[in-house]
Amino acid sequence: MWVIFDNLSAMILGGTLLLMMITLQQRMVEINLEQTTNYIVKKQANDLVSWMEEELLRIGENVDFTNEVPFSNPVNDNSTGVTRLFEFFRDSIDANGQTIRIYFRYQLIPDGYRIIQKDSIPVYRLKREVKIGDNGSWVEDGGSPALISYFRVDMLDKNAQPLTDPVSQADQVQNTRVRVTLVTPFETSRSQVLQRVYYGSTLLIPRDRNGASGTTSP
Amino acid sequence: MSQTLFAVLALILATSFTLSVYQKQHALQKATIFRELQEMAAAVAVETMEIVRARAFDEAVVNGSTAGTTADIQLFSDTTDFGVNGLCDAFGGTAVCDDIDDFHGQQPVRPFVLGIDTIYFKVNIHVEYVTYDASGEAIHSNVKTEHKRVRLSVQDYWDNLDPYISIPIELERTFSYKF
Repeated sequence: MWVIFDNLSAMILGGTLLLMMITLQQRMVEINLEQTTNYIVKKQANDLVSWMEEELLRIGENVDFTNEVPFSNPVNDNSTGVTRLFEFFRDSIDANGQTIRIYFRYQLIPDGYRIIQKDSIPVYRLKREVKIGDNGSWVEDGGSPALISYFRVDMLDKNAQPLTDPVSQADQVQNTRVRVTLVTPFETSRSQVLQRVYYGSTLLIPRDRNGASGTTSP
Repeated sequence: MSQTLFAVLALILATSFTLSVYQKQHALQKATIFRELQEMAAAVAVETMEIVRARAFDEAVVNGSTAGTTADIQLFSDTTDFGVNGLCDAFGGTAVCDDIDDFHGQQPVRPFVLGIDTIYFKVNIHVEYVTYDASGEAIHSNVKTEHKRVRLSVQDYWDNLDPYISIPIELERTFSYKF
């Protein structure tokens, strides 16, 4: 007993320091975990939008806009505001001059909820399907991880305002706008500052426009 | 006595280490928010540039006074006539902005909408004539040319706070008249 009383102050001090070290160690693990998770989610977001941008930039390629509209109206969920379905196509011309129509379909599939900082966030998986030719069948070809919390496709006019019925207002469509957010797969830290990773882009639809300016370099 | 000194020293070291860890966490969180705001600002810049791109090269094109020859350059607006009074109709104002240089001097506040979250960004638009030097670089021109450069500077915008993005995100594009 006398050993304890003789070294009481040292024990209190030692215990305090030990607690501080354990807390710090835990906090550092959380920081590293948050950093790594954010990086991975950001990378996944970049991978997702890379191929999506590439495809959306080619909407209606080689298609005569005066006769056909190379996209359908995005199907949006009124309560959450997300786009559940979007279809579009472009024509590919092979070496023999033969035209092959390629259809694309993006479908948002609900995949449960993530709880982050007591917020329940619905998450989705983006399913990408491709159809070759008018008589082909839809084949699932890629997609995203089930981390999407928001996905929206809008067809914009020249003032960047979303059109309510782009198919019947096809002559006014100037750009495709995509907004995507991804969430981390789990809560990474008690003080997690960022719940979502954001991405947005406005892409020009390749078609002739009367009166609009072009971008060239001499 | 020496034991107490060592104890105090140990506490100082532990406290300083704790502070540095929390500082690191703060810096990391700040960098994460900054990165996301930059992403949004870039998206707003591209969208604004697309609005400008959708307009005619010059008022002379809108009026139909151009003939598609190099003589058209003389018909283009003087730099002193760049800009309009008030906010452009494309940004919710009433001023008609139907050619590129009408957007000169505009400072619209544009939203980045994400479901229930909306963050606002202030965009500064600058339009100028440019010419190309021997190395192919676009440089400012004091005289009218067939090239107009649009420069956008974007910062986040809050009612009562300074912008988080201290150095604005910039996007530049040069639009050329097609003879």
